[in-house]
Amino acid sequence: MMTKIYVNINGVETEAKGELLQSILDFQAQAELDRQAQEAEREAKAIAKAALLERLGLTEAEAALLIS
Amino acid sequence: VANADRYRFGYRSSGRFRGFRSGRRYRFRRSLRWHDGAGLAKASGTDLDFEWSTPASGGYVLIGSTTTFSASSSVSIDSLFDSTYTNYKVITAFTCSVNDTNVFIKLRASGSDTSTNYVNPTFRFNTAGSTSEEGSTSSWKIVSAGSTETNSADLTIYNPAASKHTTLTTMGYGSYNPTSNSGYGNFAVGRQKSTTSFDGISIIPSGGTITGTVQIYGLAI
Repeated sequence: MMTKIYVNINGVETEAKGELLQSILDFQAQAELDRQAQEAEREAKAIAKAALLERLGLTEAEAALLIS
Repeated sequence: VANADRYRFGYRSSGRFRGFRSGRRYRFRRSLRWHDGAGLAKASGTDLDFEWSTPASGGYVLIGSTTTFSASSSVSIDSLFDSTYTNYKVITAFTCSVNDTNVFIKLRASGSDTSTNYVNPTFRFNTAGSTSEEGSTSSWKIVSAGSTETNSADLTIYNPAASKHTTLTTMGYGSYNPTSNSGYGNFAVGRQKSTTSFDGISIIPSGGTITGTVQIYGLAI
């Protein structure tokens, strides 16, 4: 069963239907895809950073000191 | 106007001003004259010591009233922007129904959201030193929000009603994911590249719903 979507327009809560409902669902789907892609990118960067620090033999605090 | 509300004023047929206080009648010495845009202000603690003065200008002027929303997937407010003010302040605080939620603003015209032509450099950071840049072309991202703590954002929107580019500066705090202790700050700037005259905004989470309040102020000069 599809959950109903409610929107607030000028202070009035109303169920979203038709084009409005579709536009919200489309936007939220795309926004969630973007968010997941950004999280994946952040995680990949963190892994690459840890690998680089290990190769250089530095701790994160030492690396931060270098660029401070 | 300090103390002025203790007095009631009326006109006499002669055009003179008179005031009443505690059943006693006070007569003003000066004839009433038209003071465009001015008001009577109490000049000192002495009775009857009023003078004409121009009300202070500038400041935040609340447009309409605070909008309260509950479990909404989108919050839209129309008829906010017109030629009365050039720039506007938006203050919003809310909780989300789910964690890991990005929250966005869209401009509206004639009752519809505008979903293209946004430029949105955004910088997200936390106390652990994590930083990232992200943005959107279909809206302006304002905060990375969560469910258990209040998320908040302070936006300034410049020239929305003018038929030229609208710009934005904002800062916000979002709890995002309290279980992993990852509250985030957001600095964002933005431009809406179309020359549409906008009159409203929508606040939209990337998932779930939001519950909270929003106030919109015109910035009087």
